[in-house]
Amino acid sequence: MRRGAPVLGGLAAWWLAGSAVLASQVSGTLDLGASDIRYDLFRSSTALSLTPTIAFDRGWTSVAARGTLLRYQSGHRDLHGSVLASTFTPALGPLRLEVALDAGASRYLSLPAFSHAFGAADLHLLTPHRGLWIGGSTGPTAFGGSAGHARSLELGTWVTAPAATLILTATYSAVGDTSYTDVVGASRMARGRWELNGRLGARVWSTGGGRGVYGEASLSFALLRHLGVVLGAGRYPTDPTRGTIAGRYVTLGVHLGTPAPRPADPYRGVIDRYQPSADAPVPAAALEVGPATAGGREIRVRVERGDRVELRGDFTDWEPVALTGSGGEFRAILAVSPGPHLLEIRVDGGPWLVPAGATPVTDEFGGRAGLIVVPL
Amino acid sequence: MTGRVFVVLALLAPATAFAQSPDRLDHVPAAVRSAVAPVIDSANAGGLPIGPLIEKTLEGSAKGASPEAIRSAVRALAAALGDARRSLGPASTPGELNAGAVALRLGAPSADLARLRAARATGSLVVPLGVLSDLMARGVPADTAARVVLALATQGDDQYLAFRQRVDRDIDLGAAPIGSAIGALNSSGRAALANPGKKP
Repeated sequence: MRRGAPVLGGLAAWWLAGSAVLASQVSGTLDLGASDIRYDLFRSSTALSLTPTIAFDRGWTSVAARGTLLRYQSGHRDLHGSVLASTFTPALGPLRLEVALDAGASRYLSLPAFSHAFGAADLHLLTPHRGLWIGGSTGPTAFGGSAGHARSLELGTWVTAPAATLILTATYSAVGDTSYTDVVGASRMARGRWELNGRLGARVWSTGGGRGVYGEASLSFALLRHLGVVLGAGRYPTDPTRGTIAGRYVTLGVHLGTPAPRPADPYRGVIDRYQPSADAPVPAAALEVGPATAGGREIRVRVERGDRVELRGDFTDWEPVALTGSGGEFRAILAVSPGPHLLEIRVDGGPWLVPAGATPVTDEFGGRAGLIVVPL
Repeated sequence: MTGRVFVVLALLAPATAFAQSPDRLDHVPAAVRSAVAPVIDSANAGGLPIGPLIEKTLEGSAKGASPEAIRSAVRALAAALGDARRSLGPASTPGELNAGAVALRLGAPSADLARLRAARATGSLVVPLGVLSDLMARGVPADTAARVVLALATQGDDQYLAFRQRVDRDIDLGAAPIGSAIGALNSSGRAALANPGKKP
């Protein structure tokens, strides 16, 4: 059980503030699956599922929503929807605070709907290869007219290596007069087109929540960039905070999806959290550096007005280079090596300026220059 | 024989580093050239790349700085290049040393450069170091910037966060962390409770 409620507005506002980069950080998936499942004490059943998921990631903030339409062998259908939002505060030394919201509801036939809305806060100790967190969550649950209140405390640690990530958690959960403690280890290993996920857990202490060992594993193979197949099997425990019971399953599915945000996103996300220095770039001129070609890199400058644009920087030996173009768009092909570079532009012979797209830095001569980082 | 070749090559070599790049500094005032020549020659003798020093000289000259200010800037950059080499290692490329010097001058701790080298023992550091500089120039605290760049170098944090977010999503969106269909099936467990003994 995790995640909470009143922070949703704040999370949404913070996240939407960065909507300029929204498009590049939206990922969507659609899973089609066929499964055989046996709930504890019940007969097994086959089921077909259709599960769309959409996720928005912006640096340290993530919002995801998922819906499921499930059709059983009997012809009965089940609808399920949920949303999860999570964001991290700026770092305080090696520490970050994560606040999150988890809300969901489901309905089967004419039975009363089950719903939950949890708020959560976790304090993380982060290092490049390992970390630790402690936190908790609380919030209401409802099954028709019957309301309850759930809460949890969690302690977790993780370690990562180039090919694998391991997470170990211990969670105490309680709802009504039921309480239990789970110890769970999860891992992910990826090699080429293959990805193996696993989870092994034990309910070591329980009052009304059952006890036992459970585990799941899935193996996925990427047929194409946006198409993969997934084979999974395992056993999962009862979750009284969501009204589910333990079961075993085998499932085979097809996964369609757009790619998740690129690894460089944390970098963009972090810089977006901080305001530029007081001497901000000139918005009237914007600079872009194109990919490397045989002749060099194309440097493009857009200006609101002006007939002549010049550029100088360390890669021109600080000699002005006139860009060609008109109608506000100017360009030049120049040899620019990967790494950091300093530059300036000027329009119609005016003062040298730092254009948007470059970061202003103080030079050693009482002025400013624009810093760009050229990729490999 | 080899020793003789080295002697001949040494005799043929330019007397100073300054002489190696006369064309790049042709348009620089003589007073500026005189001010920076000892610094550049000293750096060259120490095995440091002189390209960034020449470029700093040209920048100062283009911006109309005094010879003293230019010499001071070039000297500080030479010192930073030396610090960068100590942190990044003697096998570092000139581009890495320049990028490291820029990062140091913007406030990056030397230890973070060494950690970055340790995290990426092979492969160029020019872009990660450039990113580190960019982050700090944008106002990100040095320690936070270093942490992000280390994550970029190893994809550790990113991999962790991506995985953790996925695990959280899968657990919170469907109770089981593996497979969307599995999560959906979990949510239907209560249906079986309502119809004991029957298929859902």
